[in-house]
Amino acid sequence: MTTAGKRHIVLSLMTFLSCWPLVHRLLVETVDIDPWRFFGFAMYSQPRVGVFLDVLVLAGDQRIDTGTSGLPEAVVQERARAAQRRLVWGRGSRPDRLARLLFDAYPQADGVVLRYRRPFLDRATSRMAALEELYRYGRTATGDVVLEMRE
Amino acid sequence: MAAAGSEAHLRDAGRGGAFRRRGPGQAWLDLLCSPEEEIPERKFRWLRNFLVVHVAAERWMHLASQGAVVESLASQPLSSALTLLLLPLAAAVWIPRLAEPAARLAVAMAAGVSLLSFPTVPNHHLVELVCLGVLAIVRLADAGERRLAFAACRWMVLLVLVYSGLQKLVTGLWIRGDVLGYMIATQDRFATGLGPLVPAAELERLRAMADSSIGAGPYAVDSPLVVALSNAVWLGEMALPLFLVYPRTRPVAAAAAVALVGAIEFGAREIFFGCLFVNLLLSFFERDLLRWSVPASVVLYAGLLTARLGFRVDWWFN
Repeated sequence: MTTAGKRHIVLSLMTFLSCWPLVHRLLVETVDIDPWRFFGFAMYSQPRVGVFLDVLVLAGDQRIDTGTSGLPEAVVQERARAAQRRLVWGRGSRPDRLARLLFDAYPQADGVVLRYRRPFLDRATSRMAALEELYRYGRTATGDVVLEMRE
Repeated sequence: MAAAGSEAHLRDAGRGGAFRRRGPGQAWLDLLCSPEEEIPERKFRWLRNFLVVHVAAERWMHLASQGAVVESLASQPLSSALTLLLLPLAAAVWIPRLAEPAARLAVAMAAGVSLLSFPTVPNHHLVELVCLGVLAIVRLADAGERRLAFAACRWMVLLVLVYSGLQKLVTGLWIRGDVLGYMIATQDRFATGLGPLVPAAELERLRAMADSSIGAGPYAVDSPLVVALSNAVWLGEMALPLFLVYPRTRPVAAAAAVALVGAIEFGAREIFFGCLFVNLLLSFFERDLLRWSVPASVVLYAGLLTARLGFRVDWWFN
């Protein structure tokens, strides 16, 4: 490769890298991606706290007590993975697979509510606050799991 | 002759002639590493070889931190195998005949390890890969290409500094020292490093909020020293690159940046990133300071690695 070719590669790459952190910032603000990831050089710009994922399984109006019976191992693992995905990918990450696993684990269930809580350090109060996202899943007559509500 | 050439180059740049003739990209590269600046082969080799050793040691440390190396080979065979192969490359790069292919292979393997861990790739992997990648593709014997590689590495340093500062400013959490307060509260290493700057009662208040549960706070620090330090960090990160660009202020700015980054990384005990960045900053000096810093870094990495592998204990850094 010629020197001129190498110069073009360097200039193109470095120009892209010079602009990327601005796009990264936009994605942090709009999609809530993890500011510590994806090469935006925003480590330590805000504390990195994990994401919590609360599970509520419903049968009619009754809550199935997953806390006492204990969640199956596959569900526990997927819950941890879903929380990690949410932390990294932001709002683009949906816990559909976890919902399906919960319906499989609790055949009597007709609803699953999953709640993400992402703690953050609030600039206005300097206290920990949390962003919350709620996903409600239901089951159709054919047994398919569908997302009924998201807020 | 060189001085006269340099003055003509600066006068030309001042009139905008450089931009007209060479285009903004080339003019910018020339500003970062001017045609009059000589990058000796030896200096180039120090930086390139350091980066190969760095990626090998850093990936090895990560592999060793996941438990026994043999277990990692079973659970992540490809990533672990690539990491294992980086070590002989870190040795081969010191043999002149093997250096260039070893550096290129190291880029490919380190990139492979990073790709396999996507999206949880640390940001410093990008810095390492870009700098090493550029140093690996240029010809050692070509002075122009050596300058091109050094200009790219310096550009990368400026990007990291400017955006680190800008991101801290945008979140607004460094103005009143909120982030440092949070770090002191939740992490022992920050409490140890910054604790002496905080009044005892304030330190006790912060440490009582270590669980960082929802509603905990406020984390803003009531210590003028910590607030000043917090603001000095982002201000320094954003201001120093301006002075690193211009040859006249470059040595002082590079020394200040080494002090700033050294203090931050020493406080945070991020020894690998600290070493990487300090060595990259030392490339800004015309004097070949890398010949001192690189061997020291290699010895430090060897110590860290042997400690992580269990041959030594009680190492202070993480």
